[in-house]
Amino acid sequence: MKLCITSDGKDLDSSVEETFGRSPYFVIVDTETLETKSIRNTAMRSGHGAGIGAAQIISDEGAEALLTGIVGPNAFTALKAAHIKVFEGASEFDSIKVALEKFKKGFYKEATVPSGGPGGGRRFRGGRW
Amino acid sequence: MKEVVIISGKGGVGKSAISASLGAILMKKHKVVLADTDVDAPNLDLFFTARLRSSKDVKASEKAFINCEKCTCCLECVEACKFFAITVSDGAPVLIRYFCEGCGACSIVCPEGAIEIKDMKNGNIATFDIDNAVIVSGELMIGESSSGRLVDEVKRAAKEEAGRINADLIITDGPPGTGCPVISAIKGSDYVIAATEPTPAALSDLRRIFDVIRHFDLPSGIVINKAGLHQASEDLIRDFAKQNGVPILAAVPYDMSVPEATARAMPVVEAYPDAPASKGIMRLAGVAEAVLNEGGSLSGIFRR
Amino acid sequence: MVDAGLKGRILAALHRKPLDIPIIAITGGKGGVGKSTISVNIAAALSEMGYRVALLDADVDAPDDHIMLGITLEKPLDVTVNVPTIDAGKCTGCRRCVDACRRNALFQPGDGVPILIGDCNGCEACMLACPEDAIRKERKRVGETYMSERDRLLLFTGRLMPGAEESSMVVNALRNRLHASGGGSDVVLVDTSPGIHCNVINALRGADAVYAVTEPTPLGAHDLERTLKLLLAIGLRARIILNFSDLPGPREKITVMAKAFDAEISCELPMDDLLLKSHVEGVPAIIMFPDAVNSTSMRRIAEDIAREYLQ
Repeated sequence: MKLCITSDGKDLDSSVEETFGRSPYFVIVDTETLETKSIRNTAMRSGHGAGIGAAQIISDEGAEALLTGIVGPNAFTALKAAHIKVFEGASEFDSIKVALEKFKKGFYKEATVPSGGPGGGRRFRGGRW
Repeated sequence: MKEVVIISGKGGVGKSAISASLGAILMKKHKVVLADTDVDAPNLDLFFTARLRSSKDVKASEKAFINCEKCTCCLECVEACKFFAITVSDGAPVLIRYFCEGCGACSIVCPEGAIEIKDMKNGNIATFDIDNAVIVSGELMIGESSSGRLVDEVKRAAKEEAGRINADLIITDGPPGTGCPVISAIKGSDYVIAATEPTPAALSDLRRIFDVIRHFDLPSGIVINKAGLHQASEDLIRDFAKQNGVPILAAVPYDMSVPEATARAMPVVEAYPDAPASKGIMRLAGVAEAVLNEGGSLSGIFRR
Repeated sequence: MVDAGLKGRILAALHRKPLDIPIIAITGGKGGVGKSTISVNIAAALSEMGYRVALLDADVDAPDDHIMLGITLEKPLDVTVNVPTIDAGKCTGCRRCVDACRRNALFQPGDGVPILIGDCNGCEACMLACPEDAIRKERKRVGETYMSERDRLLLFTGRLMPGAEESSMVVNALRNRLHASGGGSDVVLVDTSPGIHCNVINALRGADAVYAVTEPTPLGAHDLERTLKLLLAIGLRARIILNFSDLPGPREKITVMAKAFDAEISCELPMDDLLLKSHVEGVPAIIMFPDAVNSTSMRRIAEDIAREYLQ
């Protein structure tokens, strides 16, 4: 299937980008043929609706699934309307290559409800404070 | 790294004074970034001896521009603008850019292609160094709008700075009101402190602010500033808090030392550390620390 | 850069008055500096003097004037914007609406019909872009305006729905309501929201006199400067009211700034517990404590206004 992974760079060694709407790049991988393509996220600089804009971009690319850190509710609604499966929980400490391997092993769970509050595709990562 | 945001709904309840003092206390034990997202009237740096390190323009606004040479005065744009930003003078369209929302409706209807929408500077972000911390402060340009987007940029810059210096905590002084800039300020944070005062006006605005907070499902608590001012109003606030399951984190007594410290451009906990108000804010700091350690939940830390 | 001729026309258009009645605005950079308290007291004083007063509470994010006057809000009118619904029967999938929306609020799933998901601010750009007339308008409420009366005082209040963004729509609706119903008043007082954003400018339109409220603290001075710059940008001069005037702060900063902007300090109001008491009781101080020092001062401002504009 055509899987889109949010990325901070163009290739498989780039790090995963945890937010969807403002992710600089999308790496689109055919999980069977392993054909890879990367595209810039032109919705990144949008003042409003970056998540919806990003959803439009990957929907137009024919993505069937999305792997990212977190998706806000507006983007989630758009992705669902386009029948794109949403997988959350990818970590910025993984490369795209590693994330893809984990995905193939079934490491990520499909999200059925958005985890962020509105505009919530933008939570600070936790950690000890 | 955690972020706590202080908002108030109503202006003037003492939000900035509390944020400054809270920051002053917590920065003694932790690495802290103070984010000032009250972009209409950013004041946090004025409470400290702040040294300006850098300032950068922010272009987070879009505005229309009418090219007079191409314009044939058909006036289609006047009706197209739902924000009343274009009026007529001497038969020609006059664009009052202050009211333009950059939606582009005018440029769509213009038969001559005479209208362009451009990205505009609407503010700047200044970074200040203070003795134990960093302040990242956003300031809206006079007459501008889109403060929500400017607030987004301030938060982003604060997060970057926090990453750079390995900070544990971002304390965000939020904008007043209940609109879009406040939403931008509380998005993505770990805890929201709603500051209020015991007056009828402030209670009305407290209700409004909780309508917004609830929508985001964020853990939150109330601090009553100027406590003791008006018992009837204070009782109403406590009732409201109880009915809505929101903890009262602390009550900061009404105390002249606060405006006097502000007049001297200092956090009250530094200027008058023994004042009742300072003691109240220290209690608030203690509760805030405990709450953030618990990951935002309260586990029995309630203040009544 | 805007050429001088254009700037003149812009200012003239900005200050076109909805009614041929004196407009006195009260503004200030900081929340809590006392704008609303002063506005309601001046309104009450003018009303006591026998004038019919229209008070506009343009702080639509947190309107307080009705609370300070103890007035229940009456005659609500919804403020609405039009949001799009795309008619599947007429839509050809051309996507012009999606592209026209600069807020990315519309989304087209595959070959389907675009749907509204994001925040729509009612600009109707999508409807203008649609070549098939396939978009229906649906009303979305963003706030209300109220018109409440007591004796000779007519209070116009605007209130934005919490969390909504369309504050300018509410301020415009408020001004339109004043235009429609305020014609019987002798004078209009406008209580603007604090700050220097575009809605403050909207509320200041057509003002004959502007009072800028500040306090003698570094914060007050910083915010006053921004207010004075704003007024300068739109061709208005300020009369400064120094509230909490006995605070031990740097008042010389205020006087220096006033001079620089050719503004006079027209009144000083020291800190006053009585003002606070009346504030929490919902009765203007000039009524509850008519002989208090600040009540006398605010009454004097009303008399100055009457002398200059109403006689």
